[in-house]
Amino acid sequence: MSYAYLFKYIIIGDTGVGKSCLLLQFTDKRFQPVHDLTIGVEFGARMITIDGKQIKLQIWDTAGQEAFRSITRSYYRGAAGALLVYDITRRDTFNHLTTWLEDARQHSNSNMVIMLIGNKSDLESRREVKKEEGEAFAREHGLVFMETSAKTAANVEEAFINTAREIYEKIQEGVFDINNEANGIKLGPQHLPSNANTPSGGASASQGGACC
Amino acid sequence: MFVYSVFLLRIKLLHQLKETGVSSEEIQHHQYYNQVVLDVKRILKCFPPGINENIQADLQVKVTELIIRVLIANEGLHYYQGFHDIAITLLLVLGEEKSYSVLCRLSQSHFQLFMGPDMEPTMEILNLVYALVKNENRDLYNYLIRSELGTIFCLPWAITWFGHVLNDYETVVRLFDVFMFSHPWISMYLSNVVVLHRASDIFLTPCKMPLLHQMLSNVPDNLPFDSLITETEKLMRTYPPDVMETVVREMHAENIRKIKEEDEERKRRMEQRKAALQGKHTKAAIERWTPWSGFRNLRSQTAKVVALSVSVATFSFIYNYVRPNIEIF
Repeated sequence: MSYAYLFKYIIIGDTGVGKSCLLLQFTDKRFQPVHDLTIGVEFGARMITIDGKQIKLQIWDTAGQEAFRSITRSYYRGAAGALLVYDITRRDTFNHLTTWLEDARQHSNSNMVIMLIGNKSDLESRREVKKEEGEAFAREHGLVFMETSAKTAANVEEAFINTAREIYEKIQEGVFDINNEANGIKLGPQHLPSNANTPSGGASASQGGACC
Repeated sequence: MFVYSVFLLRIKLLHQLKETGVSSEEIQHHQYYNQVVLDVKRILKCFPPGINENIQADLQVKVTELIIRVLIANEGLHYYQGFHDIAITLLLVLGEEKSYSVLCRLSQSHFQLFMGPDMEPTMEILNLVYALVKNENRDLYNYLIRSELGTIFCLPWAITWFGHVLNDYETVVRLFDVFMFSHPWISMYLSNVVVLHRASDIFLTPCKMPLLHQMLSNVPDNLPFDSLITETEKLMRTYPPDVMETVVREMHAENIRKIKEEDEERKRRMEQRKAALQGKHTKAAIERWTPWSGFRNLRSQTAKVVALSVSVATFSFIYNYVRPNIEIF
């Protein structure tokens, strides 16, 4: 299926916060109460529409355990967007956000759009992190914030789509070099590079053929 | 419900530990205790189908205890997610005490590589898959390299002895039998054989990293594992681990060098782009503040010099001759 842009995303955060469930809800519109552990990385994709343009989201879901951090770091590099997820019912997953954020900022391209997500918002009775705390953290670190529930699908679409919208706006402003795939953005097969003022050199983004 | 069952699991576990002589405090304060309890809750998939719920709950308690006891006995080794897949398989076949002895022993030999503070050493040895494919099927090697697939797709195969990726219990147990009595790298040799076996599927998949990653990550349960094991043993004789070690380490060093180069190139391009954007902003600002817009449109250098000279001469004239005659100055 044809698309105007392809955006690469990465989902990061502590183990058990619901990263894989968010992805499954977004790509398959279903919820699995006990999701199998992610060892290494897993992958999902979906097409969305922004500003009348078809955009393919290529999403990499990563293992949350510290031991795998050195491996998943290599996925930050080619990502245009990141969903940084914590569990609103587990305070420790919120406390670790700073480490995750430092890691993401250090290993990604500086324009990467980061969306902070407080997941499991359906479990209000077990809430340990107030919504205001998430908002404050996001404000302090310049992130977009949302509370989601992979179980009820609340805000899941919005989280992925709003991130894409931010990336799209950055492209319009000329912040992203769309001719360099290392930024996590790729032009669709039929959309040849048209931006003449982008710095030259490097691989052409348009290779044609099927792409995931 | 979830919290309640985790709570019950902990209570049961602590009760059992009293019987096995391991101090419950030692267990509770172990750095991986909470992690293991959470992970064990999620391994239902690894249990054989049709197993009774009570037996399942009991096994969950036992596998948590098994893992923590092994970690306590092997100070310096770290728990990784996937180690619990190994533990449950051994527990199901060997029972509590035997599985403890076997897992302890294997942690010092076969799993030691995976049980460091991070997976970097494992990633280094996973290059073995590429080193072997290169020797056995050059076209396939070129295809995989071109796709930039990397080795992460076979990480769960290697570190869980295929226990995490195969649903067929009989096959998993069969593989454990073979792996236990072979060189610690055998899971990586078999990973290579699986890749070689699936060559035609790989060539049918577009040469794109995500598509190949997804295709290879789903290991079919019906692969002919008996003949693949025979292949693996043959391959280990042809390319023994001690010979391959140098090749693998060189490949890893080369990969790291490439990543560093790419990082530097990416940073350079980003700086360039930033500078270009800043330049654009500065130019826009100058244009906004240039008093005489006609001046900006003068294309030729000579015209600019002439215009500038005229401006300077006019200003000097006013300053020297007009100003002294006007009181306001």
